Amino acid sequence: MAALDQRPGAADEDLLAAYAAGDPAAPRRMTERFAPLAYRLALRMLADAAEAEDVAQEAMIRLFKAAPGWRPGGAKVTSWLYRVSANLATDRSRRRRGVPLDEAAELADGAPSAEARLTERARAEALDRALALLPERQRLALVLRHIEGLANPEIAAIMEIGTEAVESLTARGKRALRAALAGERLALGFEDG
Amino acid sequence: MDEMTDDRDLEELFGAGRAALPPDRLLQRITAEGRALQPRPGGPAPVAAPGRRRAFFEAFGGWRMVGGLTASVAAGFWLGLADPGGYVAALGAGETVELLPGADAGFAAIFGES
Repeated sequence: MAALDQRPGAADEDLLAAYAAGDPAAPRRMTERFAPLAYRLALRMLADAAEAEDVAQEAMIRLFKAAPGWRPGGAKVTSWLYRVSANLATDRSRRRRGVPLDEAAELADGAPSAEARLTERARAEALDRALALLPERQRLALVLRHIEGLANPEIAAIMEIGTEAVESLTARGKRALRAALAGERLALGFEDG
Repeated sequence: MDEMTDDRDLEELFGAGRAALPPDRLLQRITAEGRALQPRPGGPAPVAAPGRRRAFFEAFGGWRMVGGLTASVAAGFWLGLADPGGYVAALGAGETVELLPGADAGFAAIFGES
């Protein structure tokens, strides 16, 4: 019996291998596994749902094309996808004029009430507005660290910088976010104090 | 105090950012793209784009054509240098060869030269 591969990301590599082998369930499974990552990152980087969809679709197309030649034990699939998505989002961000968030992203189910959903949406929009004020690198580091929940070494690999630089970017980014959101604390449903 | 200094509040804000889900129509579109791009089991292997060298030879009709062309050029070069049949010597240096005998008279008749 083959030993279970315990490497981080091995299951993701297996999924790519299944896709390359023609497994008919693989396209759907890959989409469910990876597309939300690309979409969330692009949405927080661009604050525009339609553009985030385009970025997620393009990043996934690149992943589908890369799957047959994927080298096991090489780059982590999710790191690769984050990097591709970040590059695509950055390119768009530099090309476009400032477009406001005209279509709020769908929120995950589970919000207990309409009021809670509204608060959640208002917070997401406030987060996007505040993130948009940050320099690109700070924004990307914050999104990867605090929304995607990645560890600093992985962020460093994705951004091709050192871990100390990641720490510096996230610390400065958080300070700037706090300052940007200072006046909205009560409106966003946070207790005063 | 009207300043968001509490990390907990910031964390809740990030939580709102994590809650975003891609719409179903996007997932369906991406899945369809994935199916269209997926290699078929037992199907033909994807054809790689030809390299620069291969593209060069294909522009001249492939390896066989280029081989034949090279042999012809080499033979002509050798004939020119070695002159094995003495063709160049037979012509004689400085002599004029009339490729179309009588052509001058024909031109004169046509253009009315005397």
